Amino acid sequence: MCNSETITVFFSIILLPTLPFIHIILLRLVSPIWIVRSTIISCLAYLLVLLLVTYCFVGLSSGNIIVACSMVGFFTFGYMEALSHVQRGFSMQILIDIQLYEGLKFSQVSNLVGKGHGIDWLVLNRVTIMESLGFVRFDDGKITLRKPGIIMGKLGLFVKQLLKLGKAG
Amino acid sequence: MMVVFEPILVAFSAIIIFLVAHVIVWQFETIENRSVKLIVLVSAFTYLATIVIYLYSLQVAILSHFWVSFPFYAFMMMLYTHFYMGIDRSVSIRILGETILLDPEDYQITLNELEKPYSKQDIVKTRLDLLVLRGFLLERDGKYYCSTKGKILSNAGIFSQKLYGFLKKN
Repeated sequence: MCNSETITVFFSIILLPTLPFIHIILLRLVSPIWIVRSTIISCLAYLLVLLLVTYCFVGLSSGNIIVACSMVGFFTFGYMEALSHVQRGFSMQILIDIQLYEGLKFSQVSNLVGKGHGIDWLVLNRVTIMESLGFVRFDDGKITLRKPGIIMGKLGLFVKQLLKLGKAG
Repeated sequence: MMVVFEPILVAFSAIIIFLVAHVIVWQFETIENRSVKLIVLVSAFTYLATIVIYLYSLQVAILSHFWVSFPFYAFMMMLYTHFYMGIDRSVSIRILGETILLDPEDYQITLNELEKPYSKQDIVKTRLDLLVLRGFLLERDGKYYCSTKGKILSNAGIFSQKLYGFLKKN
């Protein structure tokens, strides 16, 4: 039952620490602003190491390559999700603030949001990010959606309606 | 080529069945119970159901390529979870949606107009309520405190922020 694909899955688990290890080194060398690029580089390095080890031990077949890519993709996206909570996760930061101040009132939590910038800054920050990504135009306090923003917004509304998510967000 | 085609076909079939099951389950399940844990449960169940269908109805030797189809399926599910979480939690997606709902012709909104359907206080309140509901926070005398579970998670968060150097800039 232990075929070469099973061994590839096993290697992908054993070699998993390669991903955060390379990523931490890269982030320490460059600015955290480069988080996406450094994640892609770490992911490719992890895939390369996995393919190399698999090739050395069991050889490479089309099945092995698919397994390796799938496992690397699975772990990388899981890792990115976890890391995004740590880096810019709203709930995580609330939790950290409450822990550091040993208890907070609602108004205090609101003031501390966005690493002390406050809730007004948070909304403005999200709008600025969307503007830099080309989703919206922002002039004089007015948000105007651009084409990618309209598509994303409609997609969001459709999925929320389909899955009965309420307004969410 | 056939060796790779079959497991990918199985994985895609499982994803389609999952999407249908997800929509159905989400119609009946309460918002509080709609967690990632439930997505994992539904996806595991749909994968097993797909295996049974292929094994007994279509006579495909599914078990021989389980180790190809399952990792591929797991990867696709991770992608979907990313997409789902983005739609469900994102402040940006909510702002885009509210703009469309408020001005479906010109797609324009001011920050003041946004305050009505999506107040800033609501953004914080929703998160706090969810953290209380999931047992990470305790609410006592108008103040929020970390539970043991919350303390473990926040300590892990602080440790990770230091490890990755995210705290350097702040």
